[in-house]
Amino acid sequence: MRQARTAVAIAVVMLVGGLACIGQSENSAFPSVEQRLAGFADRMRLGLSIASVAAFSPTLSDARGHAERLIALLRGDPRDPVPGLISQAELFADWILARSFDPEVRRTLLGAAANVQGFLRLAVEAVISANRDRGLANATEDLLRVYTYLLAAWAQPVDGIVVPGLSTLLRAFDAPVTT
Amino acid sequence: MNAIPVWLRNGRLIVAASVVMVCTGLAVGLFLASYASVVRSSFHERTVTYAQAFAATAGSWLARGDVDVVETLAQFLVAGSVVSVDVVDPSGVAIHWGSAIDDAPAGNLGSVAVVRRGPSHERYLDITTPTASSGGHVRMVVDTASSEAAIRLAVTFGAGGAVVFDAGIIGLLAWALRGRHRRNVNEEASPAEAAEQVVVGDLVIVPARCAASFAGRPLRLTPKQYALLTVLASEPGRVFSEAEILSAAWPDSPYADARDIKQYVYLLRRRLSEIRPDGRDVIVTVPGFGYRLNDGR
Repeated sequence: MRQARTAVAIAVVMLVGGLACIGQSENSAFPSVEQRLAGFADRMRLGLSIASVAAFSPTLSDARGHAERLIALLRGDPRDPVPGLISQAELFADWILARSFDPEVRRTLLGAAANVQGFLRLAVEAVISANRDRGLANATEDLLRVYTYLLAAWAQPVDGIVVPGLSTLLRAFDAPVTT
Repeated sequence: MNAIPVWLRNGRLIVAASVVMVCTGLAVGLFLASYASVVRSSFHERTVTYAQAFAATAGSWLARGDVDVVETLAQFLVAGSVVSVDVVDPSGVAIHWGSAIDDAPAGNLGSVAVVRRGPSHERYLDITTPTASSGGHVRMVVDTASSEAAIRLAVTFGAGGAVVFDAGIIGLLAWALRGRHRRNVNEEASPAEAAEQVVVGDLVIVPARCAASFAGRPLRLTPKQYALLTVLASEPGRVFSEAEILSAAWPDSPYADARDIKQYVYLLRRRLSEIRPDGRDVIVTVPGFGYRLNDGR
């Protein structure tokens, strides 16, 4: 009987501790979805900045250097604890799937997340191609493609015309970034 | 006169070779000069655009107050051809990345200047361009070593190619002249050889070199064909019987007979007619008696 009471007490302590940990993770230890989206957007902006400069590299070696940085940004770098943009986009899609949303909202969010992933994969293909090119003209074309795909992933509307992407997600979650 | 080789005496071919070589050298030189100009100009234009693109991006980040990203981007640039980057913003932000450059910008805002630095006076592009939105400016100094290296490589390959081309031309001309030289058997014969040589019409035999020519062109003969021709040419116009020919041209072949003579006469006539269609008439068959060399009588 005494042992049973002890076991119940331990179980209660563990339950309360576990709930407290979950609450903490939801609030402070882990960034919120808005913050994560804002961080994602900042890295996307950095990628766009690199691509916009890289496309005008004066030499092939400059173009390749920028391409390598873009690859690290998109696919992740073993030396960098932050995962690559593609992994982040996949994690975000998983997060949407795991949450309960209104079906219409859920479909919109998943569609936008899928578009972001698709354009980022195209950007990776283009940047790998740029890194392998043997001529500056071809590398320039590939880096312009990278810039275009990143811009498409961002999905800034032009007169209301847009394929949903990151800006859709930023607006949906009211993320603290300026688009 | 004979001491001077024929190919040296042929002035027109030497002149032609010289003209070809001079033209090739001139064409390669002009091409390389224009290539160098295009490479320099292209590098120049791309570098200015590069600086402008960076200035636009830096201005955008500075307008957001994010200096760290501008520093990161400047760091990326300096890892390549860029020697130094300075970003100056009216808000007081001043970013410098790369080698320390003490002197003032070579030009005003929006200018591009070619400057020379260092002990060997390397070429650098000194570009100062305004940032798009923050009202500041970016100064970028870029090493032109890579474009100069490309030009040097092209010049090396171009000059090498021209030398190889000229060597090829010289080789071809030498080959052509050698052909002409070989054809002039009579002209090339030394006084002693000329004294020994046998001339029957257009047919010339030089025994010292076991060589023969017909109508000025060398005859490619086997030893047996040459021996047969020599026998017939020993007394032009005289009819040699098959027995005489066999004993003179086939002295060590007891099994040789009239069929061999007939076969070799056929081959000789073919060689002669290859040079000139009527060459086959040089050897005349005298039915029932033998063969003779046509001496024109």
